Amino acid sequence: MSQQIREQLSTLMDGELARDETLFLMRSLQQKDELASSWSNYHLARQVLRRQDVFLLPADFSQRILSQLEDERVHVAHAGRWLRWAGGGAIAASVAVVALLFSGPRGGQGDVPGEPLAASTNATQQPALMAAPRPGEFRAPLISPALDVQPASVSSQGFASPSAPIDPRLQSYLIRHYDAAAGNGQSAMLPYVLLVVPPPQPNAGDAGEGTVERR
Amino acid sequence: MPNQSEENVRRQSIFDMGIRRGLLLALGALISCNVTAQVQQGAELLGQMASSVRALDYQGSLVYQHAGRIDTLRVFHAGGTREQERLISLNGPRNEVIRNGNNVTCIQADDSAIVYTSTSGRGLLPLVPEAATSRLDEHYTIRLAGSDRVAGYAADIVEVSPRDGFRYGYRLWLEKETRLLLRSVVMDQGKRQIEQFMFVSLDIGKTPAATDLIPRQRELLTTTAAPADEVNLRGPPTWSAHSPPAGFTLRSARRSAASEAGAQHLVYSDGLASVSVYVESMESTPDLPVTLANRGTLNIYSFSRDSWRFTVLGDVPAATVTAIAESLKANAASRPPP
Repeated sequence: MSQQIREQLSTLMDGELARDETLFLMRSLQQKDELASSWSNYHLARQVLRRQDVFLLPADFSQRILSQLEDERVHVAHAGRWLRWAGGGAIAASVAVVALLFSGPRGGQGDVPGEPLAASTNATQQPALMAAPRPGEFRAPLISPALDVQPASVSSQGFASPSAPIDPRLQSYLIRHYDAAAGNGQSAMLPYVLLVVPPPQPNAGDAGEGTVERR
Repeated sequence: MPNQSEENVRRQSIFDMGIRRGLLLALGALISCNVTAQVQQGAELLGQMASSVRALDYQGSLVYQHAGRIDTLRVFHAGGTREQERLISLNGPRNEVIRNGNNVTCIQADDSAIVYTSTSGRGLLPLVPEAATSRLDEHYTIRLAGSDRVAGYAADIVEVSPRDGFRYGYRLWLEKETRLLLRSVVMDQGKRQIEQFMFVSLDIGKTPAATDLIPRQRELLTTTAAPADEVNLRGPPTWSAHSPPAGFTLRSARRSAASEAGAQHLVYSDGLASVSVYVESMESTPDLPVTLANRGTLNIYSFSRDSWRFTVLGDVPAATVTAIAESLKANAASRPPP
């Protein structure tokens, strides 16, 4: 492996490799086991040094990155906006707060903006790619090295419900809320549970699922 | 002039009255001592619960009931200096939250994952007050409410009742030996149940396997890092709640390190319940409706003013987020940037 490729791998780890070079490097990773091994080792060393979670490396990770790069033009605009939301910055003004609490199928397109229609419109737009990190920003590994542990033991088989992603903005709000509250010694009986249980579907007819009041 | 018998009756009556008063005072003192002891004992139990949920190893399944709906979850917890936890939904879409030290990873059913860096290092289940340092009795009454059995463990029940309608009450089942929280019920001031969780199976002291504390392989396809941690504001906040409900005071004023100018995150608390106020700039200034939304114990009040959007949320009654939201004003000393 040449020094140039080592440097490219390192630059890619830092998220600073140009798109064309990334495509070239990923294709090389697919073809050369030595490169893939180095890539895994770099990630492992980085995670150990940073004491981050150590995740498993999918066997076809380079193919997945290539696929993501192909989709980048489609997703990157959404990712940027959601990441800004998650950061507490400017938000998309068309989405009202009710969108945070509800997801799932909606009726026709004629719903009033700001009602749960906004939820279904936006809840499906998930951040798909990592944006360039800002100075001082923690950046989690996009892909991770192999580790001598097997996947988790809890199975989701039998729960084939369609995914109803939880709004990243609510996720960010709640995590920062509970984190700040905890830092001050305050409480919440079930922090994060709303991020795990399925969001209610406003058309399901469950009157008790949640309420929205416009004023 | 009263005769001897009348005088005796009068003296006996005064004596009886004195006895009764004495007994009442003694009884009052006893009740008072008992109440004080219960408050102290309840607060101590809450404090023990706070430490046990962090230090213990445990794993189990629990039900979460809210608004006529029941969800089931599985939790793994490895205590110690570096806590590791994993909370997984067992019904509906497969969502989970994993905490490894200060990293909190939210994984959703579509395989997307967002990693946050926690600055508090506090746990997933449950987050409890540092009761020993809180003046909870100003706004809550705490009492022992008997014993029960949950998930096979004997438990003491502690009831925390609000003194007004601006906060919820709690009924907590604490395991007798470890003080781990086995069940909790959140109630409004009228003691109507709003939500509850309860372990249905639990192994206290059982260390989770390493494989139980990591996500599955396929969930790593779209990992995204949340922007940087929040940092404390250098000066006073630009906005503040000028007349929040009694007991709620500003506990922290922070902003995301990556946020735009003027964005703020304020936290108000009465020592037990907390309310966050997010102030964010908007790219445009549409006429957004004032909205109050609710899910379980969580209430969210949102409105916009000029080019700012305000989102007030917390596990408190709607009246509390409304009162805080409606009393938000720009501080004269530090006007918000245009």
